[in-house]
Amino acid sequence: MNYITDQPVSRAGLEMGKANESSGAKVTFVGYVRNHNDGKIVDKLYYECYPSMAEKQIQNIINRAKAIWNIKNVRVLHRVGWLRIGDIAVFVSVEAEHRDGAFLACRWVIDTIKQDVPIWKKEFYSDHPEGWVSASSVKEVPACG
Amino acid sequence: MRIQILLFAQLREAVGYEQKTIEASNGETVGSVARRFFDSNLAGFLNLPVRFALNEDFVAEETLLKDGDRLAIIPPVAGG
Repeated sequence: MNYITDQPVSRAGLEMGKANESSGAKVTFVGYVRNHNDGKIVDKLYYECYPSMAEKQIQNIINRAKAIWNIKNVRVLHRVGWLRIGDIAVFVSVEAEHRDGAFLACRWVIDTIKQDVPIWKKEFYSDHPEGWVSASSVKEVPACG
Repeated sequence: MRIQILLFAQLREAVGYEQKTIEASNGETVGSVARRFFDSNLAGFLNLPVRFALNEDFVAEETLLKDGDRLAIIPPVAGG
């Protein structure tokens, strides 16, 4: 499975269909490139990646999510290279039997991608010198009632 | 033994290359090789909270290296 792409990500193509007939819920997260960060005006950004490790780590994250929650299907696609404002940077969708598992797993998957997948973001600003960005740390795995 | 060091983001920019093969002694750990590399090449980044990966998995500093390992130095990530 390829979870990393250097091509533009289309939301329409990714959200079509439902793979598993036993799924009753699907939660989708779409991350876009924002025009500002930390008080600075963002013009564009560059995602650098360690591709083979990123693919492996995302597969590990999906496997862990499936082991924690009763989820049927997980889809992840992260774009790398040069991105402009409004571009889709990352897409995560989770199908589960019930909505609780789908919401919790989707949140955990994107948070853990931000923490453990070797992708780096360099932002280019209108009003400041460019810089590499550090992500915030991930929260504990939430319980699924 | 020979270890391939992989560099990314601000560390790659600072040294000007993506990878370098270095000589290490038998019994050396990830942490000892990384410290030597930082002292020689990345002295300005000693306070950067880096992690390490061997052959594409995160490892602890105490992990023993073996000949031919690929040691990635992982600065703070920011995907998503």
